[in-house]
Amino acid sequence: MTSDALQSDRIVLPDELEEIEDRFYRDGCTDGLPIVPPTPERVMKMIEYNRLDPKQVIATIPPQGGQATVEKIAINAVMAGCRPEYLPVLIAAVEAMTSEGFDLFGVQATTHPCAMLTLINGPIAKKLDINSGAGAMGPGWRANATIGRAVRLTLLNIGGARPGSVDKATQGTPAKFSFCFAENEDASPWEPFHVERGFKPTDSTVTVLGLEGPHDINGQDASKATSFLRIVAGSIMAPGSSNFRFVTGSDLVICIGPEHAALVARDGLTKDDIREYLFRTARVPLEFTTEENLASRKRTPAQYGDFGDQPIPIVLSKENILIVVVGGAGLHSTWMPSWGGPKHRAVTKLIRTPD
Amino acid sequence: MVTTTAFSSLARMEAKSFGLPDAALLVVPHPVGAGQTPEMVKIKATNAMAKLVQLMTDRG
Repeated sequence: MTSDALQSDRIVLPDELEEIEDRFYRDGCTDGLPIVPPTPERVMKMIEYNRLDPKQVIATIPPQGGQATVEKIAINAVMAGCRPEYLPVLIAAVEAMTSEGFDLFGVQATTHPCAMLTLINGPIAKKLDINSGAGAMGPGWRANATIGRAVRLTLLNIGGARPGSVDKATQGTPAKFSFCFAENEDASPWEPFHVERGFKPTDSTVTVLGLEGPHDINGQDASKATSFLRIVAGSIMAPGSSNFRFVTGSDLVICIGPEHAALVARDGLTKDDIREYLFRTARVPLEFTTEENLASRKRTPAQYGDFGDQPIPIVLSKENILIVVVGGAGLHSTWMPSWGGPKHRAVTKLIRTPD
Repeated sequence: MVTTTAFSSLARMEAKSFGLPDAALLVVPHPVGAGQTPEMVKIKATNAMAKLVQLMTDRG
């Protein structure tokens, strides 16, 4: 197949990088950073490497309803600086984001500062050198940086989420530039995240969820599991988070650093024990919320969650607490609240590679 | 569709993606939420009603 198989409109520009950058920026097709010019040859090379049909439709992406063909996704991947072998990850991410019940429209258009987490599990993480260890959340790794960026450009160019006019985030978040990392499965004392969700250890998967950027949980004072979990519970009891405002079944993510994970596992706790403890403990006393919020809970419990005069849990069920092991040396973990949509749950999809 | 000035471009895109590119938009001055007194909201609502009648009658 040659690049003649591509169907996108072509624009002819002077062979000057600055002029190309200016044109793409002016047309609103970038995240503000320079892009790799998506020439037909580069796009075709990426598609051919993966033995895919450029015309294959993966999904339509709201709110614009743009058709995410393999070709359109590859164009955004090239622009983001992806290597050809990253494309299957991006395609699986698009499948996940557009699956039934995942409120992508809300994530795209909300005033909340949520970005699309792209979490990678399985052997592909090592194969593509997707960082799961020290500094996994950035910067410094091409795969992390460019896959996350390609997700953003896809949401922008195919989904139409122009910041300011359609992406209505009040302040935005740096995580919207890129938000991709892998689980540190080697350093985890528990089964990998994707295995928990029914996949085989040898499967490679991508998990997506609309989340705030990471918030540190400094657990340097914890020398036993219960101490660490008390710090985690105190950290996620956040009345300013959307998980608290709308307790209607949305997930949140806790990324446990390997040293914290080892500490918790040493004391014999499983991931389910952690969930159980946090669900029971991370409840916000009523004096930390407002009369307006309590009135909303009573008026429209389906949207806000009503718990009467009891402390308010940060999630509706312990299953809404997603636990991943990420990072390198040091006693830091992170948590990420999700956006405020009802029942915003993570979706995991298999990554299909050509080999 | 009812929207505010700050969200009208999103509302227009939404209408288009649902196959209703010419759907009438009732655009209310932003904001209508927190920080607005009930009196301020009432004025906006009253003005919006007049616009709504106009939109509906203009379109037969």
